[in-house]
Amino acid sequence: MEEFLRIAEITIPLLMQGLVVTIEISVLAIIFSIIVGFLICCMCLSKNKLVEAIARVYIKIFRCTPFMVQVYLAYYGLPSLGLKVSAFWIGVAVMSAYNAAYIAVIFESGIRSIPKGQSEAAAAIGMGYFKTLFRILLPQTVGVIIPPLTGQFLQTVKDTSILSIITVTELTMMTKKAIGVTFAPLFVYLLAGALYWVINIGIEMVTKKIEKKNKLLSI
Amino acid sequence: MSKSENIVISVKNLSKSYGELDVLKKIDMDIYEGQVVTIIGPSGSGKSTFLRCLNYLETLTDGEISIFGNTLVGPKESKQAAKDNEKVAKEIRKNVGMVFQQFNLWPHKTVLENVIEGPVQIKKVKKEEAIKKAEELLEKVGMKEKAGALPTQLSGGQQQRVAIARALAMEPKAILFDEPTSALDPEFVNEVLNVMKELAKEGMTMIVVTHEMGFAAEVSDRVCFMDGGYVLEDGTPDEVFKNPKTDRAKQFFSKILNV
Ligand SMILES: Nc1ncnc2c1ncn2[C@@H]1O[C@H](COP(=O)(O)OP(=O)(O)OP(=O)(O)O)[C@@H](O)[C@H]1O
Ligand SMILES: [Mg+2]
Repeated sequence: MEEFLRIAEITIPLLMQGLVVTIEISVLAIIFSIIVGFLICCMCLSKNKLVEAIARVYIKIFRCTPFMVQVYLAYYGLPSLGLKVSAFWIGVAVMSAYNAAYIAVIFESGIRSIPKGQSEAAAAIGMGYFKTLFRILLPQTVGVIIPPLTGQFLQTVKDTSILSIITVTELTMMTKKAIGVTFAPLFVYLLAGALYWVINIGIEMVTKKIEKKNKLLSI
Repeated sequence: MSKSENIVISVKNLSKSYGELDVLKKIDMDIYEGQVVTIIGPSGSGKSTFLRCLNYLETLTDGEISIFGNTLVGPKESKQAAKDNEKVAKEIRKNVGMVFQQFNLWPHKTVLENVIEGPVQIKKVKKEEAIKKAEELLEKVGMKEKAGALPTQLSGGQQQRVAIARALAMEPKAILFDEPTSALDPEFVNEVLNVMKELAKEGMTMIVVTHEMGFAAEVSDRVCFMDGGYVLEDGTPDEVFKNPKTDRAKQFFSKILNV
């Protein structure tokens, strides 16, 4: 029992430190990836073929190469371009760029699933592109895109663990550190796993709420 | 034939192709203020395409359309013309409403919200004012008590009457109807036609694509028969229904009047 208390005393502060960083990165990456993903989606829907092509290439690059390779490339590549950025922000940037590709596809398929008559009825009263997007199309996609978006957000949180390879002091990194001191891998990993689980359950609860609120409105 | 000498919609030499497929072939048509024009013809003859060109839901391949002084031109080679058309279309859509076969109400908005969306968002009318106007319009189409309902809670006929109120809320000078009763169960057809008759009586300029020959004969000032991208017949209901000039029209009428 005393031994257990000693392990917990060392482990818990370390993991809490990591937990905070993991949450910070996750939240920032989710926000940025929604913004960038939405812009990429708009580019995919553009009538301008060049604009669309740029977006398609972006999606191809980020979806078809391993996340870990992207992380290493940014970690070693950005400094060689003369950019001095901390590992934390490199992590946020790569996570955002990577997830944006997936989120763009989710947004796009959601918008394309709305019958054409919906935007035509908006056009017929003289509504412009952005109003049609934000007032007519997007509200109707919420029911369709929330489940896949939720999945993507859960994946984002789990993928933050990969950032330990570039020295970001997130939860997995701190877990390894705690094991190095306590030599109790089973207990420490269990605790780390539980913490990831709690974050993701939290995300699921939030998105469920948004979905429910919208179900009353959309078909 | 015309209620006024004022030409408000003028179509000159309008052509529309989808790739190799020529859907509209050099159509000319002048429509006068207050006129009710029905367009009839077999499936695929280009009726919807013609209507959709008028408010630029479709681009023109060639020709010109002037509506209340705003002119769309077939772009031919010029990219600038296409851009100018977008601007002109915005003006045209302020003056010309459209009612669709599938109603196309916005399902996430209530009946009232559907009707005030245009006035509030596009015309920048104050919300209270828009609501007051919308309630009057809903009253007019017999849908006032459903103002708070969602479109999915309404029958087809009710949805279409709301769609007409939505178009009227923009205070259009003309309304385009693309088979407004074709998606309805027979029992709901008349309630929609009655609203349209009312509008016709009030002097609204209307272009109506329809298969309702009774409506065409009774309400319209002018009937156009389209086939294969041409307007083959164009005259008063009596002229077109009783004395069609073309064999195609005769065939079409004998077919639909026998069923
Ligand atoms: N977006 C499009 N791309 C390619 N072809 C099209 C398109 N829209 C219409 N067409 C073709 O143009 C022709 C005319 O279509 P249109 O919808 O105008 O006919 P319509 O007279 O309204 O027929 P209906 O009575 O069935 O509604 C048809 O052959 C149709 O297949
Ligand atoms: Mg049609």
